[in-house]
Amino acid sequence: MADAKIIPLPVPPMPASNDFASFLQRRLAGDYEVDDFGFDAELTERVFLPAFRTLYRDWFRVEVSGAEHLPVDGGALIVANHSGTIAIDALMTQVAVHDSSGRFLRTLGADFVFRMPFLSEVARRGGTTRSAYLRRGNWWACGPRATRVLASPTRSATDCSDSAEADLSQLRCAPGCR
Amino acid sequence: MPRVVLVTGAAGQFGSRLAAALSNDPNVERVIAVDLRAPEADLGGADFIRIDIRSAVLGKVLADAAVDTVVHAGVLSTRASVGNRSAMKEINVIGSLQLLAAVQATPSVQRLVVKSTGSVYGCGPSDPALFTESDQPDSPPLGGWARDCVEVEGYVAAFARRRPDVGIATLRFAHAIGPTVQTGMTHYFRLPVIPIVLGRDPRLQFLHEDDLLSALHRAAIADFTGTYNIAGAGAITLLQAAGLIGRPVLPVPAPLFGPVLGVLHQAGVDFSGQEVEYLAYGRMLDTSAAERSWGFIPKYSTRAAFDAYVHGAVEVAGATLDSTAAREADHG
Repeated sequence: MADAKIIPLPVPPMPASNDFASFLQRRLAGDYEVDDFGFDAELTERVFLPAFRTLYRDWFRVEVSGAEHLPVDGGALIVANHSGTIAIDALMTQVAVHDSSGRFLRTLGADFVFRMPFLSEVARRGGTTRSAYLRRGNWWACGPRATRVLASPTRSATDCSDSAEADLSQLRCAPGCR
Repeated sequence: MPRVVLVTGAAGQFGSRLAAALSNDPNVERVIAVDLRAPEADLGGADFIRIDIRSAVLGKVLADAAVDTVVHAGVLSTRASVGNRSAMKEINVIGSLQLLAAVQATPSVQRLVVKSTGSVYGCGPSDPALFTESDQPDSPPLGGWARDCVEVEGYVAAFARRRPDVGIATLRFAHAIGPTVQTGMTHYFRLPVIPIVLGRDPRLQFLHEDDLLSALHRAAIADFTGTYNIAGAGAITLLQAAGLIGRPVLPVPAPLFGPVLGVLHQAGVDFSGQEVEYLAYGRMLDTSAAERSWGFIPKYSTRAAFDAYVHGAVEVAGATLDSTAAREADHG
């Protein structure tokens, strides 16, 4: 016993946990900002994006090219294809745009999203909204095909753009899936 | 430039303050304040006449005083002062019809200002992110004050066709809040535990009571026309509001939320019918038209107005409870 060595345990950095405690305290006290559309930049940056980033990096292993074309200011419309039902690819695009340009990508959600409890509120906090216009210098993204496929499989290609499968649709493939 | 202004609903929280403010305005020669009830607040230099706007006396008052501007602030938002919903609807709908008929018959009237509400857009999951003035409601209000305001706005539109020479400004206000105003919403946030709809955290928009008054005041003495949304900038969510006021929330499944509010109503929390939907889906007004056409920007943002309510209400917390108790006693 006398010979026992003292092995120093790694001490977690205190500032980080303090920071998190104060973050939590502020959240519970309602001391934060949401914009007119219900978007919560702080929550998105500190909770949603880090959660998606793990999937983005380690599961989907997303590669981004052409990010230098993203404008640094002003409104822009990003049109992407995606494969519908579960908008995980839209979330990955949000991570891609944020990490390569520092700006938040705001998406348009289908009506059913806003009818559902919980999902509607999480989506709003993450920057999704219902029909709005390009205003206030935000970016909006929409995936024209998604809900058509979901809502009416037999006429999926009739009144929406059926352009070539964009690279983003590949996002749904897990590593090793071919 | 108006010289003689008639204010309806002068015993109401806003009508009385508006009448007092207008009577101190050098642009206004005379203010005539009318209401069915006697005002408790000081009306300043305004002349109070206790009449029912449903009676023919109103037309005589308008003509005798050569009124040139009418501010209709007399649409009741709660049934508390009149006892029940049917009396409230009678005053709101028939009263507004009679008022418009009297105004139509009075050639001296050149301007009409109507105090309406953003609740005319209703609330629902398919609402646009922001309502502009030309948007048609997706889930129109089915009852209560909001429905009355829809009807009143309809009568005003018909009046506009009959008297095209009268300049009409209709202001659709967000929920008013602040240190002194008493509404269903202010009572709701005073509850020891705030019931919310499970899985919903709607965006709420508020307007500080002083901003509401200054918008009405500006509208009474200016000459712009049209319908305008008026609300404090920005939004807060219901959970955020509960956090700011430091009250716990009680999530209630959606089908039970209406009955819970019904029980609260019995306990003196005076909600109008649309609040159930409002607390589930929220509503946001696009206020850019008022800013563009007559440069109106509320001094308080939604958040600042709510903070003013939270902090201002600390001193009057006892008074708030007393008045609720008094109202219950009245009902009993």
